[in-house]
Amino acid sequence: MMTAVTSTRRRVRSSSLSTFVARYTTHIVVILICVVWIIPAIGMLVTSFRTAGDAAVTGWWTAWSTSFSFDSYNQAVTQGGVGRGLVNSLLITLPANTALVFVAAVTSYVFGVMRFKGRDVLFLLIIAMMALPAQMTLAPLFALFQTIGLAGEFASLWIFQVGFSLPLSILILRNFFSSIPQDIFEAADVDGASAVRTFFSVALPLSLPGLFTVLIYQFIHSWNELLVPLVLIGGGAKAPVTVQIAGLATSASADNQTLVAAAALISLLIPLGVFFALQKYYVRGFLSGSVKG
Amino acid sequence: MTQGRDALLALAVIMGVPLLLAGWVVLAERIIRPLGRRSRNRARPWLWLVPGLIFIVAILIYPFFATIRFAFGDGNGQGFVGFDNFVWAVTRPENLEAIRNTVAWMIVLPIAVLIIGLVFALLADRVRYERAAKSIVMIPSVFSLVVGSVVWGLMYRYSPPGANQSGLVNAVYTGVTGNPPIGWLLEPAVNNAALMVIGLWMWLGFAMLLISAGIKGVPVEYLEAARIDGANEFQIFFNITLRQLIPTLLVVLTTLTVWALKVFDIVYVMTLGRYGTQVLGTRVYEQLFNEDQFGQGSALVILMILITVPVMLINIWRNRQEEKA
Repeated sequence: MMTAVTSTRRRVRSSSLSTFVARYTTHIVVILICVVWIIPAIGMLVTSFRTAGDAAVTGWWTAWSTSFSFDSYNQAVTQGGVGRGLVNSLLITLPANTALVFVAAVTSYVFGVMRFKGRDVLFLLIIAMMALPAQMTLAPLFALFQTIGLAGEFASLWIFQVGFSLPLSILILRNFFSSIPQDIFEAADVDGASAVRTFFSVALPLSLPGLFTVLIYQFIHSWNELLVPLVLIGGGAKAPVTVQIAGLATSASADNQTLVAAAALISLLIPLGVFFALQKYYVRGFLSGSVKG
Repeated sequence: MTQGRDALLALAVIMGVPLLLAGWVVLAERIIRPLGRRSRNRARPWLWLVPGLIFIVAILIYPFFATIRFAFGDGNGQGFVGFDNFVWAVTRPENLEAIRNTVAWMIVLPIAVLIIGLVFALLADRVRYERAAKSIVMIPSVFSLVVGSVVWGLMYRYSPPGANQSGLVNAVYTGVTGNPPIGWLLEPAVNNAALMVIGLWMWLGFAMLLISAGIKGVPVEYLEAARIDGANEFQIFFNITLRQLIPTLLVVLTTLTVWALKVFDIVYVMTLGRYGTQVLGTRVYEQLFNEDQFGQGSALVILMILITVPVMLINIWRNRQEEKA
């Protein structure tokens, strides 16, 4: 049934289009954009396997004629601190996003399922906060974490990530909770299930895909974050991998493009792996953050 | 040594937070148990909201008011200097440059992403390798902006005229036009555009995905009916497809406008805001942490927030419309 609909759709769309735009124009434009989009990434990949000497004088597209080297990867891990940066990034993102998902789940459940005065106004206020720039939090939180002794600690980023990502996560999850038929909750109530029980054994299992979506999307997002870790953690021993790479890329020292390319590629492994393995959830996070449903 | 301690603490948070939350809602039920059913139902939501609201107050609401307070204070955010910091924010040449560039980002980037995203989504919808094409365009959206900047730093490399160009952009440019190479990140005439290209490269996947979903949501019956009525392809596109896509396009535009206002990573990694590329996002960082001017930095933040107000209102309005629908 689905395929029948899709193929009709495709036929309806394309048959008369060909009267206006020659079919090959479509292919040329699509393939051209794809090529332009993939080539810069390939350039970085190839550069990371070249020697610094080669890369300084010739373009990566001539690399087939020069030597192949793992030196930059070695250097990135041993001298560039990228190995430690990866561990730091994991120690920042895993606790932060686990905590985020659970806090968001309880909060969104309230907005999606419970009825109370002021609910819609409060919800809109929280959603509006999505537009606030992270720059706003820098000075106040820097001072706050200094006062309570969390400056430079991972815990400061855990707290930041939960608070700052809550509005979007609530928006996504509330839609999941409010799409559960009200009858299910009424039935649970009639059966004498307590509110706590209904939440844990009815609502949470039904919204697992939503929880997963938020987890994957926010994980990649926080893995990629630069500004806030730069301010709250700095470039020292606890710096996440993004801060390390930004440090390498902006350092005025000798030409280190192969090192930076290797470091960047190492930092990509986890988000790319998550993306390819769990593309469905990542895409849903992208979509549901902005469109309803 | 400290990494071991941090790892243990991280594990404690991963296991502990879910338990604490479960403990809190159970405790909340216990607190409201003596109440009647009606007041119980009235009190429960607010008790359950407590953990989330604590975080929102600490990370979003407190900084909001603290920033307003700092903006009226001196370099340490103390005392009261009236509107001095705001006057400084909108008169100092460096700030005007940052404001100009930020506005350019907010206008050019969303429109560029929207147009290319729309064209790509429309065309990819008609080819058999649609999934592969979309995946390719999606890949940069997983990259951090730092990595995206590294990628394009390699693309924009510059060698003196006559030398072998090791950056692809200059190699193609000198090869095709025969002109001397351009310092893409140094030349004020092109460097802002060169930085925006990075934003375009990173965001196209998002726009394409949304628009593509929107296109597939246009009812086939509408298209068929129009065709039976003798409408041509352009009429169908402008009168049906595009009209149905307006809410989606609005989402893409507002998302990107808000993002462009805050842009930081690309400019920080590529130029540190030098050579005429300063934006508000990097200027605020510089004021707060290089110049130690909490008051002036905060005034610039307030300026950023004021610019987002119209977009916030659009978001709220859109949410209202969807609630009604």
